[in-house]
Amino acid sequence: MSQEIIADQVIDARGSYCPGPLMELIKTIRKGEVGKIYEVWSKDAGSIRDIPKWVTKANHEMVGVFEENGHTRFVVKKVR
Amino acid sequence: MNSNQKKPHIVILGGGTGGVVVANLLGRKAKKLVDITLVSKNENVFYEPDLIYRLFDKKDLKKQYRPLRKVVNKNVSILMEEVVHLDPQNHVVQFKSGNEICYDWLVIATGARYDYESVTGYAGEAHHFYNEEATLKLRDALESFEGGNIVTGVADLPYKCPIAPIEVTFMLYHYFKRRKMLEQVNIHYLSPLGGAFSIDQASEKFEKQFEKKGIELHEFFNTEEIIPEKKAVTSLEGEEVNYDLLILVPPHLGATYIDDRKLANEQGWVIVDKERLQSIAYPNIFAVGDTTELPISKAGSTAHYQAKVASKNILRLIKEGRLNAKYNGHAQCFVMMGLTSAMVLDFTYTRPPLRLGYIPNRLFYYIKKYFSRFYFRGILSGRV
Repeated sequence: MSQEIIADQVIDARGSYCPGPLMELIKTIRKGEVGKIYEVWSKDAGSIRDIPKWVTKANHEMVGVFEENGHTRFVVKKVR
Repeated sequence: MNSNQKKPHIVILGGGTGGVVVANLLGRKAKKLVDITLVSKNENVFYEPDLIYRLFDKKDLKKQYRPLRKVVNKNVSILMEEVVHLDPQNHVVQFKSGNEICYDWLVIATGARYDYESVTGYAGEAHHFYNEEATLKLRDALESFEGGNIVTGVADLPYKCPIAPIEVTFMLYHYFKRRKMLEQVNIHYLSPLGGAFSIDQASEKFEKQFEKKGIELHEFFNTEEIIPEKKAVTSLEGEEVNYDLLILVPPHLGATYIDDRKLANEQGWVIVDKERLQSIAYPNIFAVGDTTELPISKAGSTAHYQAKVASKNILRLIKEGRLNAKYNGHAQCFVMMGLTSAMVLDFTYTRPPLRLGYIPNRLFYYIKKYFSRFYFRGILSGRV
């Protein structure tokens, strides 16, 4: 069901290496509106650890983490 | 090449490590084949890594400068100009003076500039050590510091010499130990990442040292605002840290004279193939050093290694119409772990740092401390 969530913005960071995908998410969320859903695509192994940890620290909502073909999709809701 | 044919014109933008090494390699190896112009807004090359030492000694910075003409091959023309616009479609670079220059091949090596305005409250409140003026100002502030919270760290990524703020943090600890002030000083380190540093193995080492020295690490601290009235710095993540002295690496921007988004991203970092160092959109443009968007440290060593690859590829393209040199992401950083000991991080895109370098010792310290002599005579020549 979660996989059907439509993000307001997709951040394709598949060409980026640690800490690139996380920093691209932070940069986007910083400018984004509360309530919007953001999706980060990452091929970097470090993102699995870093992105959920950052989302928790920053008090946003981790909607889901989905393994796709060759990359991971992180879906995050900006809640404050 | 027919003697009546006009020689290709290679223009190099930037008179720092990357630009000078490219200029010297091409000037030596291709003087009959090409015309070479190096463009710089500064008359001198400045050796930045020694700035951290100037925080803790009383020396001036004269020895960190060399006139550009003295370190650049005589076959290279030098133009003192500041770039204000690049038109990659028409191969034209425009300068602040109103002059312009055309090129057949272009190397972008203009480094990074500091963006103080992007953090509210930064200007006039936060210290740093990324240029001469700021370093001397911070040196005075440290000398008169009587105790309290020293908050160090990084405002935003990416930034030059990623290890420098960690080194300065360790050096601060030893500096105040020497002044017998450790009981009056609390040191905090602000990191935008989930650890002290971006390379896990090195990060663990630094975090252990932080813990041992009582330095408080604030992970995932992405600076939001500095509030001078409260003497507080806040993060996007909702944290607030009070300071008596704030030392924060300012946000960096790349080549802001480029508005073509196929050549550089919004922050001005030039987009090149990570091995060939050639623009993906414009094959007659290469970029090296801090100004690139490459996923590797912005540092003198990386600019030096990249300059060798880029100059080889340009020459091969001019001579044979193909290129084959590849940059593997090699970086080498000597890391001060105190005032008189250092370790070394040597890594590539795919290889983590060599374990041997993790052992802090005097030898690495002396290499780092006296490297500037070798830099001006050896590194800049491109011979090593």
